[in-house]
Order: sequence, then C-alpha cells, then structure tokens
Amino acid sequence: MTSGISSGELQISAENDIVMARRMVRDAATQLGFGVTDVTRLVTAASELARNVYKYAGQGVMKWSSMQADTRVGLQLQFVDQGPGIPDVAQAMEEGFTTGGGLGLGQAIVQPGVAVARNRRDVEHHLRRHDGADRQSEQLSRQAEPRKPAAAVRCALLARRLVLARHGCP
Amino acid sequence: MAEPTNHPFKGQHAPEAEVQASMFQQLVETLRDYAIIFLDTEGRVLTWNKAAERIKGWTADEIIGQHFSRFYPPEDIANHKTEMELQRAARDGVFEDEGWRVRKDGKRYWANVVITALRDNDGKIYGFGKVTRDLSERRMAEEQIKRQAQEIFEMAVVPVVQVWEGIVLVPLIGTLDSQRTQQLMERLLQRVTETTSPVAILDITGVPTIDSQTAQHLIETVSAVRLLGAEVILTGVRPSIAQTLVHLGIDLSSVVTRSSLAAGLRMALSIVKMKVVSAEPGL
Amino acid sequence: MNNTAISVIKVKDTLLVTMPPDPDDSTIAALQERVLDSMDRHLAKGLILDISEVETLDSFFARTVTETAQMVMLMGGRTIIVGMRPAVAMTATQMGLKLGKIETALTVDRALDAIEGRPKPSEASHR
Repeated sequence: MTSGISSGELQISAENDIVMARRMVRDAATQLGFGVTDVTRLVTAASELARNVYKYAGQGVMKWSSMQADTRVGLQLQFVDQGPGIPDVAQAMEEGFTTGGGLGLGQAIVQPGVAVARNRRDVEHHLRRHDGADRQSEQLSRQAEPRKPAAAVRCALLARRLVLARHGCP
Repeated sequence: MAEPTNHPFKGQHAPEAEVQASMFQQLVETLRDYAIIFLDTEGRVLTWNKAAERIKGWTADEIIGQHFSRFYPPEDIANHKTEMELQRAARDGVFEDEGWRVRKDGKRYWANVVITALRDNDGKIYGFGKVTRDLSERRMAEEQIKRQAQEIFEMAVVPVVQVWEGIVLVPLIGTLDSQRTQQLMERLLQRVTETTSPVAILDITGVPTIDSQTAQHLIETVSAVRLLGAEVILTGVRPSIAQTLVHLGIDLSSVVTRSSLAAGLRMALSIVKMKVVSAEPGL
Repeated sequence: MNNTAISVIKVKDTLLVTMPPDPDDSTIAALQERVLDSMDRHLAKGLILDISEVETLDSFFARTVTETAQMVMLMGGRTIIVGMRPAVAMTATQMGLKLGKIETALTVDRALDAIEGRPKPSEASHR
C-alpha cells in the first residue's frame, strides 16, 4: 500500500482490506475538504466496490487520486480486478440494491455529487458541471471492459471509476 | 553602485543587468508577499527569497537545485503543467496563472503566478523569473462571504423550523433540484436527529409546479427521514399538483399526506404520543 | 476486530445491541450469531440495534441487519434500529439500499417503550 496526501494504492486481497479501503477513502476525502455527507457517500461506494473485488475476483487494487478542473476539486477512485474474473458483472453489481439495470451499482451510486465515469475524459467532464451528476443522464451501458477484445460475457478486467466533485477548495 | 556579487546570471550576456541587479536584489529581499525566484532553462530553482520561504515553506538550502514542479499538486504534475508553463512563457514572453500550489508540508494554497522568460542580448533564453503570490487569504475571505450569503439564502429557501416539541416543519418554497434537495435533506435530517423530533411536516404550498425530479426528491427526503425513525407528513398538496403527480404516474401512496398545514399539525400532535415508526426505506 | 466489539446487554426483556463505529465483515457476521444466541438464551421480546456510532452502512451490513431482523421475527421478537446518522440515512436512501420492512426509532428509550409495551406518558407539550 502506498499513500500520499491524496493519492495512493491499496491492494485488496483479504477481507480486512475492505475496512482499509474505507479508512483510506475517508482520510483522502476528508483531507480534500468534502463534507460529512459526501465523505459517507464515497466511503460507502468504496466499501461496495472493494468488497466486490474481494468477493468476486479475489484479488485487486484500489487506486485513488485527487483531480482538479477549473476551481473544482475531485477525488477519483479506481478499482481494478486482478483475479480470475467476474462471471456476471451486472449481477454482481446489483446485489443488495433496489435499482436494477445498467451496471446496477453504477446507477445506484449515481446521485447528486457522485458520478460513475467510464474514462478520464468523462471524469473531467463531470468535474466541470455545476450541479454534480444528474441522475437521469448517467445511463451506463452494461458492458464492462473486457481484457481481451475477443472476450464475450466473462469480463477479466473491470475498471470502475468513481468521482465525486464539488465546488470550491479544500 | 555596488557590484552585485550574487546575481544569478552573472557571466551571461544580460543586458544592463549589472546596474539594475543590486536594486532589484534589495527589492526582492524586502518584499514580504511576493515569492520571487529564478529558474534555469530546465525549471530548476536557482534563487530563493524570504517571501518564497514564507509562502512555500522550503529554505533556500533545501530547494535550490530542485525542479519547480515540487510546488505543484500531483494532478498538475501528471498533466505536465510545469512544462506547459515554461513553454508558454518562452513563446509569449510571460505566462500568468492562478491555481493550486503545494507547500513543503503538503498543504495547498491558491496562488497567482507570473513566469517571465529571460533573454540575453542574442535573444536566447537563459532562464525564467517566477513571481508567486499567496492568494489564500483573499480567497478565504471571498469563500467566507460566499458561504455566509449561501447560508442566508439557504435559510430563506430551505427553512427548518421547530414548531412544537417534537415537530419540525419545513415550509418549502420553489422547486427541488438536486442541490436544494441536498441542502434540504442535510438540514432536515440533522434537525430531526438533534431534537429527536418524531414528526416532520413538509409543506409544499409554496411549490408552484412539480416535475418528476422534484417528486422523486421529495420521496427520497421522506424515506431518509423515516430511516431515522421519524414520520413525515406532506401538506399543502394543491389540486393542480395532485393532478400533475397522477399524470406523471408518481406513486406517493406510501407518503402520509394532509390537505392543509393545520390538518397536518393536528396529526403531528397525535403522533408525538407514539414514538416508534415503521419505516420503509429504499423506495 | 472480533466478536467482543459488539456489546449485547439485556434490558428487562429486550436485547440492546450496540455496534462499533466501523465494523469489519466478520464482526457484522458475528452480529447475527450473537443475536440469535442471546435471543435464545434470554427469551427476549425484541432487539434494539444501536447504530449511532456507525459511519458506513453498505449493502452487506444492510443485508445482515435485514436477515437478523427476519430471524428475530421468526423467534417471535421485534427489531428496532436506533440512531442512524443523517449522512448514513441519506446515502442509504439515495443508493437504494434494501432494508425491508424494518422499524426505526430516534432513541433507545422510545424503542424500549415500544417493545416493552409501556404506556406512553401523555406529552403535555403544548406551549
């Protein structure tokens, strides 16, 4: 595990790493100046995704880093599986949530201030918007990004990014 | 005029620099609020002044020879911002920017930065001058004013009022976008928790129109309050709003409603005698 | 963290269980064991789960709580959750966390009143 003021990496390979993931994200988000509600959102989302990595892939890494666009500061979380793969991504993501469809968790996480983005460009785009993420507009497709282009349903690699952006400065 | 002995660019083809240098030297040293430093063509720190030490944290010994990207936050370094700044200064003669910088202890501050390309008599760049001003205080003052104005505004549009022991009232005015819902939920939930009020009345008489987004946000607010263990009564549903809700296909059947605020208060009073509420979250 | 991080006290015929601030997965799993064990041993009428210290409520925690409440119900008891934090309630709502038909109360006192069936003192709070 490496960590700086607001960037770092955490290996997820044991059940206890889920707690570590929560703590790291809590620290990073708090240091960046997010309020308690936003911190809770980020931490909860991180807990879900870290557990997914551990439960379904067995092994993975959580990376976090701060981002900036104009006067807004954001925290980016990235979860990468390094294990055998998740047989049914959509199903894994939907457990425990009432909102179905899409990436399940992706849509469930979508709420004011939190956006699930597929790539960096999306992330920066979300950061620049005034009103945080608009729930209606975050319709993510069901496909996760397969490691091998030829891969069909089994997804070996999942990189999910969560960005929470807010006005102002730490 | 005293011969400048520690002119950073001694030996270069600097035009008239000898004469101006000593005056400049004194100026640089006495200015408190302007960090004035010189960088070589690669961006490594050549000189340091008192203000630079005060603003940025490093002493001259610690920083001279290091690259000026030390002053930038990680995301800027990843974006190659320092290279871009030097290129722009080289191209345009000067580069000005406002943005986050990082002190030695890692703390961020908002800075105004001006980078000037220094050319010798042959027009070749021999270094860069960099002036940094810490705008944190000004910015903090601005943020403070904005925050206060925001709070006043919030109080006016999302008032949360304790009308009785155990009864919290929110007379909503206007529509509920995501941001207002945030404010509403935070303030209402906080008040309910602090006062352990078993009932919250959401009065929407002042809500002119309702769209599916506002209705959704209302439902969310109701759910969250119930999760805490308090009940919500929705009052002031005008006929036109009731019509819109039905047309939109919005199901508010799980929400307790009363036609008027008075009726809502009456019900609230009877509820304060009951303290446990059955909550159905996750709508 | 382990089994002893959860505190279980018996108040009259009700179990009062207090959760620590950031329980790990095995502690959360232990909650179910401890509750069932205690319900059985003390023939309790109900369970009050105090989560006022809990900072994060994710789907795993929510699922465990819901299941525990169902089990308590099967054993003839009633479950009431007390002290959910505003930020947790907001996140849970907006994330669509499934909590089923769970009862909640603002204070342990009120939850006890409800389970023990104590008649409420008339609230002469008119001012």
